[in-house]
Amino acid sequence: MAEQQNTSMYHVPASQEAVVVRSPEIIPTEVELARQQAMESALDAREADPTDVDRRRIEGLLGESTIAAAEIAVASPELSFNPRDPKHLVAAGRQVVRMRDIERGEGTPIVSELVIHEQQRDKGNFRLAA
Amino acid sequence: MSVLKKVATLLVGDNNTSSVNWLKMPKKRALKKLTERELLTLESEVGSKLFGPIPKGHRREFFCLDERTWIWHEEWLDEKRKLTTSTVRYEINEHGVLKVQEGARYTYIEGEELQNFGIAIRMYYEQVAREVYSRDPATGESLVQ
Repeated sequence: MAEQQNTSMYHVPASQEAVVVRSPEIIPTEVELARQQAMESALDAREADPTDVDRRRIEGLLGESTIAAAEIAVASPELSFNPRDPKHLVAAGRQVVRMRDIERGEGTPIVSELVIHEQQRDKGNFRLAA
Repeated sequence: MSVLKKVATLLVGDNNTSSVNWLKMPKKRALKKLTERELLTLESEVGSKLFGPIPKGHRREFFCLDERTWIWHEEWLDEKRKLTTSTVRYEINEHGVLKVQEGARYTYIEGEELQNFGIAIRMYYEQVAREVYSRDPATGESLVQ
């Protein structure tokens, strides 16, 4: 009978009592906990950065116009802009396209824009676009 | 008398019906949404001036087509009054800037030409941000309140 118990998957041999044997079910839970802790500590670290657009966007702390401005500025060429570096050149082009898209209303809207209704403009009427 | 005119009369105390003209929005106004082509034209006006004065009789365009493609176009009348054009496409890839000209000529620009091209792009971004999109190029914030 005793020998049968010793064949159990989680049996700890008397000579190795100090060895911790974990249930397979526990390990994923611990991994998950560790992952959550890592995420929380990472988020705490990011919280200190007031310019963290992604986090503030997720938390709904930014207005649409602020997000649009921040997204343009985030990738703005810095003082270290290297005119020979293709990455910097592409970044500048990307910003131009981004501003263009916003202006056309295809990016994040800057503000609700006052759009003249073309047919009524000469009558002095205009409407506020949604 | 329309309601609009009545309101205007009440506000300014003037029975002259032409006084409502001040209520009309100027046709050339910044807030009207423009098409991509119109925006490119505005950008190109800025871009064309980045390389110094345009020779008399020449028309120049320089604009960002997409984030990796820039277009230089110049046209002028030659001695025989024949329209001559030159279009150059600059394509940016991980290896550098490929200059594509008519006649299937492809060359990577280098040296001073590459330096000037990069500086022109930077200036284009800064000037277009301010003059076309009314944004601070450093912060991206709108300059129009």
